[in-house]
Amino acid sequence: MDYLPLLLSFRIAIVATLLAAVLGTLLGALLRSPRLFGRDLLDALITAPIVLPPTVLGYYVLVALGRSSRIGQAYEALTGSSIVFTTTGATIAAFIGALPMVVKSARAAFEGVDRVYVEAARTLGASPLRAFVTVELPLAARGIIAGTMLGFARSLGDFGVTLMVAGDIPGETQTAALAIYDAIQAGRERDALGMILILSAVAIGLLYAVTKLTRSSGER
Amino acid sequence: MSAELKATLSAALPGGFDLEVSLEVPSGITVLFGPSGAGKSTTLRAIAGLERPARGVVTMGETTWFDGARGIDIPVHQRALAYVFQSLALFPHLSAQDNVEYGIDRRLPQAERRKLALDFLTRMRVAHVADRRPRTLSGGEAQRVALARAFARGPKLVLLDEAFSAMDRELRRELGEEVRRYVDDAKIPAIVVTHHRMEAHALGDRMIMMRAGRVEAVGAVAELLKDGPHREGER
Repeated sequence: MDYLPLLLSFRIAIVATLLAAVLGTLLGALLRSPRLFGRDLLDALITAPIVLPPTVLGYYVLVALGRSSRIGQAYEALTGSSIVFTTTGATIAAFIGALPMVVKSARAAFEGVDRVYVEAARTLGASPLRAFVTVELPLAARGIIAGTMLGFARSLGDFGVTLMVAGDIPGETQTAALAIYDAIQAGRERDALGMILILSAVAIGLLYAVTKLTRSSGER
Repeated sequence: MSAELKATLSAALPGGFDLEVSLEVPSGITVLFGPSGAGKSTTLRAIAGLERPARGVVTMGETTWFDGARGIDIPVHQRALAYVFQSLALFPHLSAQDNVEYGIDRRLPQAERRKLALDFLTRMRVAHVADRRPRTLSGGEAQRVALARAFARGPKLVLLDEAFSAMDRELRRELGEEVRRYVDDAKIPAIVVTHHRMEAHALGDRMIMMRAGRVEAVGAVAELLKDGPHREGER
């Protein structure tokens, strides 16, 4: 079995999930605020990748970040390489899959934190930022970690958007999900089997851990 | 030198009527008494800065905390006060000692903050629970940790929102004495919100009676509760 696609998948998923964890936590905290203008619309936009066809999502990413887009041209001028059809593009595709998972979980976790703790922190001299970092974030941590784990599982298995945005270039953008597809199309099922088993074990293991984590959070 | 709290507040209350109060609170314990929905907690929250009144002025000694007309609204974390919530709101992820340390001036070295936190836990007779999380504490221990947390901050004003309502008479009396001792030593005002006559008797010297968003009477606790005009405020 060729382990390269699997290693690439893990590398891409780790970077994408770390980015999604940071941005998703901040967006989850922002969406928790009932006073935020356009909150429901922003929530719908962030959640859309869960329900949109990967081809539609991929199209949007190509339009926004492709070689003829302003962002794509600026990136290429800076780095000498394009975003699309590179590992960067595959990472962005994985990030788009992970982000809504983190945001949904983080928002729910923040909404589950009793406001009285934040008020108590403020009366004890904490600025809004200190109250967020030292009280809200630790109290919401389990939910955020659970969302991050789901995001990792989702980004590890991305297929459609990765194919649209990054192509299927062995060693650069050919992730495990794409390599499995290629192997089965070519009748090399034995090559695919190892990756299928590993991806399945990781996904089920993560879902099991998330269930345990959220249950013990409820019992706290 | 002792300072007085003065507050004139207007705010909308959930019950459909407006809060219109004017209070002067000298050092010592003042009980804010009245039936549920009278606006006691809203008054306390507005003084603390947890709720913004529609109009009004709040001054603590020489310092203006809020003045709607002049656009002054000092954020809650910059008002030198301590607030004890009905639920106590001890941070569940921190030990008792870390809870107390949380409100101590962060400009002090950490070793000093830790020592100060332990001193206040000792003073409240709960030093033995310093390393324990709030969920493992008894009701009385948690109350004492909450008071230690409030006092360790060195506040200029102490606000207690129904903080002793769920306790038995003996514990309420003991903790009332702790509050009285601290407030008398520090020569600062404290407001205790309650709708419980026994608690009012146990804690207060002075009482402000509220009903339907208005101050109904101001005077000595024993005097105002003599005829029991607020029987519906009893538990």
